[in-house]
Amino acid sequence: MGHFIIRRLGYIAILLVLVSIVSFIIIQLPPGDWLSAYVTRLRVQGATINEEIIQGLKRQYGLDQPPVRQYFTWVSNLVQGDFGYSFSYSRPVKDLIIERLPATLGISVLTILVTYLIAIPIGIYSATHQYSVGDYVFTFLGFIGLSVPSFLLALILMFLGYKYFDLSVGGLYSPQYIGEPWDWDKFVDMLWHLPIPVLIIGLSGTTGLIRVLRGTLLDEIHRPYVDTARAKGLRERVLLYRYPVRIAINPLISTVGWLLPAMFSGQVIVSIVLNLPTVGPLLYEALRAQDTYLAGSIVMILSLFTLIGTLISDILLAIVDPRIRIEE
Amino acid sequence: MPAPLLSIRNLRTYFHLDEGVLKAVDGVNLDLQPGQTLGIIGESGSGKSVMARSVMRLVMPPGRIAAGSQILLSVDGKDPLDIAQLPFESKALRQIRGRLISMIFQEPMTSLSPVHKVGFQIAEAALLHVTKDRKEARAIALDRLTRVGIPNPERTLEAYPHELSGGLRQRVMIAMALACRPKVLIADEPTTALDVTVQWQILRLMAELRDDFGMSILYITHDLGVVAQIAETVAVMYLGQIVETADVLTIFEHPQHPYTQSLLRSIPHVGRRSRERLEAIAGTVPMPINLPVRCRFADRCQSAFSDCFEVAPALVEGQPGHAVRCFLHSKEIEQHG
Repeated sequence: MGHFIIRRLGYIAILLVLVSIVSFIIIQLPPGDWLSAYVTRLRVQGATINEEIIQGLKRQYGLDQPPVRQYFTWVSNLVQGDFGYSFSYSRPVKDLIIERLPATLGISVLTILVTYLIAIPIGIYSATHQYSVGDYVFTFLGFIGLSVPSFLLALILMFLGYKYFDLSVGGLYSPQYIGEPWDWDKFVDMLWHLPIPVLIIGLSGTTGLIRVLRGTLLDEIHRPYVDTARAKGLRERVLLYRYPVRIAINPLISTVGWLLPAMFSGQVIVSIVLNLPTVGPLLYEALRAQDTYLAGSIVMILSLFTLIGTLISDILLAIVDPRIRIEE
Repeated sequence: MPAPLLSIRNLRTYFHLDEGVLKAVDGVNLDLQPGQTLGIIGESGSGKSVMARSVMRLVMPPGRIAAGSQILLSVDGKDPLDIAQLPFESKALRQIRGRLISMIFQEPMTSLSPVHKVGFQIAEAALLHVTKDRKEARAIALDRLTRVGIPNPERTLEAYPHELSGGLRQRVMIAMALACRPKVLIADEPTTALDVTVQWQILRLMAELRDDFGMSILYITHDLGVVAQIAETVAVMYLGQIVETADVLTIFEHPQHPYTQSLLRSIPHVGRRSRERLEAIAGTVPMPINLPVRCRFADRCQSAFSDCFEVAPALVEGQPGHAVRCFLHSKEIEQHG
């Protein structure tokens, strides 16, 4: 196991180098750069900017350097923990990300917990009561949840929340608390704002999980080892959780790792619609504005999380399923 | 003759499907004496497995044991208990499963949980019925693994099923079934998935264990050779009914039902002239859905005559211990109620 982890960490390092090159190229791919877009915007607004100022700014941001040089500057700084400087926010990338990290992680962790808490019991119920009224109801709701785009649902819930529950929709807290220091009232206010984003972000994941669990559990319930256990004289309930559920839960465990990157970037569109102060919208804006270092850093962190998440999944799966052998 | 340990009376297990009622087991009567091995033989689809599973109440919807069926278990001179009447999730049923009646299944690979250790799976049965002490249950598991002749039983306790060979896995299944010293062991084609040499070892092991543990065995198979080795009494099943039953010698030496006779002609014999062709029974076993009331084997029978296509023969005991369901031997007609 030790060797396996060390080797995989080596692969992760190699992959990260490749990802950094590819993401840097892709971010640079559109014609022009952040500065030319910025200058155009200013000129449209009527400002006169001469070539000298542009050259000065280029030097200041390091954009006069050849792209390869820019890449190496960025990467060598990354390794030292310096994520670079955001053009559009005029602030260090690190500060921008850290600022949004608590809300991002908070919403994500809560969403994942709610997803599992809802999906696992319903999945088990649906599989053990196949073709019952309850199963059909959950199946129906599940397909709605899977097929309705979550941003649309966000808009509908915002409207309902505003109209009938007098909630100030959007954001994580009411306007009067923005920029205020944390106190009890602000915390309670935030709690009131959490359900809508958590439900919306979690919905498609929940319904997806229900389908997956129902499907695998239906397969497992009819396996011969269930009969073996029943023939021993086990109670039906004990039997269900000890054998088929225990095995049907494996695919869920093996996908735990994928949640890690999802936790970081979240659902971009929903976050934009709901005006949530998370990393997702930040990435979106950075990509639009060709804010190279901000976008690049977020992509790098996402990649790192994806790779680590996959590693965690592999390790977990090897722990829960003895049939999976890790090559030494 | 002593009172039978297990007495199956008019067992009918029906599957209620959209296409109609599939009568997988249709009026089976069987007696299993203490210490006896009863072989049930039949082709795929004859209902022998469903019959075995019915005794353990392992038949799941849409399958149901029809009203009027009786599965009477009499242990230690107590009043017989009708397993067919017990509620599916009752304690009484759980007390029978694994403790009084155990079952070994066909596929030792899929019949063991892939994610639990062998030791746990055996000890679990002991923990349910015999002891509350984990150490003791583990000791029982170790003892049973030793009894079924597994080399290195200590290490096997900690092994997962996929780490064992097919033969060893079937030995583990047997060890698990023996955990609580059951009175009846139901073996549903336990050697079918195994190599011939391993088959023979397992059969010999089961015969030994039957005597050591004082069990009765209900042995389900489609293999006449296996029946000849292990069973004292044989019941031949066809389409959910018993067509002939007798002791093993009589079945092999004087088979009376045309189906039994053709089954016997379809086994290869070493030393038989190679030019002689092996006989196959014409046709296949039909699906027992909406069967007309007549001899069920008539369509595939070479000796069938007009009566066979109009009325159903009854199972008649012509000689003591030898019953046949065929108009060639008795004109008695089965009454349908």
